[in-house]
Amino acid sequence: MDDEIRVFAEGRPQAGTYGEEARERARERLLGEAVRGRRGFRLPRLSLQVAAAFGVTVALVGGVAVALTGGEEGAGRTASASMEEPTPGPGQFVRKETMRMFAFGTADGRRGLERNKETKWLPADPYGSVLTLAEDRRILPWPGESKPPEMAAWEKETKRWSAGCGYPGFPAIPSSDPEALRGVLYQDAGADRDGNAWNRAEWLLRGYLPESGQRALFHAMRAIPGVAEAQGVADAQGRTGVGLGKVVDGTLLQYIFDPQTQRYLGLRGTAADPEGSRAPKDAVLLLTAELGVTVVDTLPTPDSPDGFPTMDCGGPKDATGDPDASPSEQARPDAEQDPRPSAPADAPAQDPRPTASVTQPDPDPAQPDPDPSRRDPAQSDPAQSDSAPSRPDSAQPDPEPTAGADRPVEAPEVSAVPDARAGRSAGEPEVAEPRE
Amino acid sequence: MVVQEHLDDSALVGQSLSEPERFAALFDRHAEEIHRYAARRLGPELAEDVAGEVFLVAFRVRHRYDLGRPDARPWLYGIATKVIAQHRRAERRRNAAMAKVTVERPAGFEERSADRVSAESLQPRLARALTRLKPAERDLLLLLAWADLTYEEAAHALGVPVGTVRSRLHRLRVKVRRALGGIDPFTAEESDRG
Repeated sequence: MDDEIRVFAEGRPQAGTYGEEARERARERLLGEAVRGRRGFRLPRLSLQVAAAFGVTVALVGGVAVALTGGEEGAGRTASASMEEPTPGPGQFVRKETMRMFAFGTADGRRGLERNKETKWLPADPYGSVLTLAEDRRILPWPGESKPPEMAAWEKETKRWSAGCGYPGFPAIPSSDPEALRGVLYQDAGADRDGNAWNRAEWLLRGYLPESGQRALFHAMRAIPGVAEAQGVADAQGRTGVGLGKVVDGTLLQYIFDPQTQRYLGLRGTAADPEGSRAPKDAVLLLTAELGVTVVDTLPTPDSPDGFPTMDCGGPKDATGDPDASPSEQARPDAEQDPRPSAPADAPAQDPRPTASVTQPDPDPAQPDPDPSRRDPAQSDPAQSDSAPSRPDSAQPDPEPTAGADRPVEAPEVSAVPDARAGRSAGEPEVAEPRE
Repeated sequence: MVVQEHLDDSALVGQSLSEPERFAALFDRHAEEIHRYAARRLGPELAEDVAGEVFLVAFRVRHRYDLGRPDARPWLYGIATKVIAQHRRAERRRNAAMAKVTVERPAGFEERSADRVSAESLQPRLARALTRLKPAERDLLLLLAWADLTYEEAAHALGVPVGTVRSRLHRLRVKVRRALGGIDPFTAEESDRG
């Protein structure tokens, strides 16, 4: 080993062990993600079964979300009813709005329902970071229970930005032909091929599908053995349609499609088996409504000088780039993109919240016009900019956009805000995980 | 604790494509090590978050794992490098703070005791050297020195050709030598090599 390396190797600081509690929490979150990836949603008890199948001991079921309820949100939001087929070009985003309610459980056994409005910016780049905004958050009691008082405090976090990977963006599916789509759904091997096909369909619906793809998916899904069709199933907006249902872990999940156009409207989950769902039979545990999609050129203006959280979602390695560029620099060419807000002509006007930051540029004084040097990460030497006493971060090209609003980057603050440490910015959990 | 211990990492990742829960076994195998690396770079407070995040990201991109690689550590370290990069300012602040210790104290034997103030801190002179490196150079140096990766593994982790690793390594060694020069007997060794 080179001496320069060795002197660092020998001088490596000691590192404490991974705290048991944090480790279990991380592992549990990973399992939760795994099971959700498999089933879409899961119940707290399921993780114990999974753990048992694994031959491991999992003491706690942390932050497991189950499903959700509510629907009085309904009237008033109709503008999204007509959905064209937005096609994002390179560098553009599909902006997708969804009303959601879902159940959650905490490690110590508390549970409830959360409702929020979610806006996702899905990049045209399949390896781009997906930005998610959850707002108008409300916590509701579990069906048949009263609302624990401490849950009200969780509502104080009115806006939550997070980043994630792995949501199917554009083009999520290669074809609008149901038969070809059926092949897509059944691409996974495994013992439960029908179950896998269902999971894959759920996954597609969580990303972006053009309307023709939604129609094709409807036909492909209803052909999956075991899928039950029901008429007049209502989404979170009160719109009714054909529900394609399957009971998963005691909850009947129904994906609702418009009876005429087969456009995807939303998802409804009701307790089918009180034992499995741990809720009174027929209680609504999950309810969503797709509010609409548009194509936008840019992300909204960050409301924090740290910018938005982003996630490096990998992508093909480019070995020919600047040899000194870190892989994240290469993998995220858009990371350097000028965050300057612009007003896309097609930004919907009916929703003032997210668009307000898009249509009313309010340049953040903390982030002045990008210095030209920002665009060439290879040019300035951090060794020099580091010596600048003030704002070394703005002087130095930092190809990885800094973590954003819900992720404090300074260690002391992180430890002071346990809720923000829940790893939310690591990705976008399909379900919320309020925790202490 | 872990079943399927006989499987190598690539088999586990492969299985996890159709049976996602399998991925937890990869966590059981490597979480401790990834956490240790994160703790060295960022300190104990951030390390827990970072370690958890590394495996979540890894899980989400597992379909891109090169199944020809039986050892997932370089891949995990590559992801860890990217996650740590999101805390670059915190790392810089930490290194700067650790580097300052000697500046505020008289040199000499006191410096040594200052070095021992916290075993979880990097020696000031090393911390100072780290602050002189570009992020990509720091990433490489610490993958080699603290994660004990080979050049080839580091190249894989960083997603660059081995040749790039070598040239980057050459540059960073020059910088490190310069930064450490005159402080340490290490320079004497260094001069042996011309």
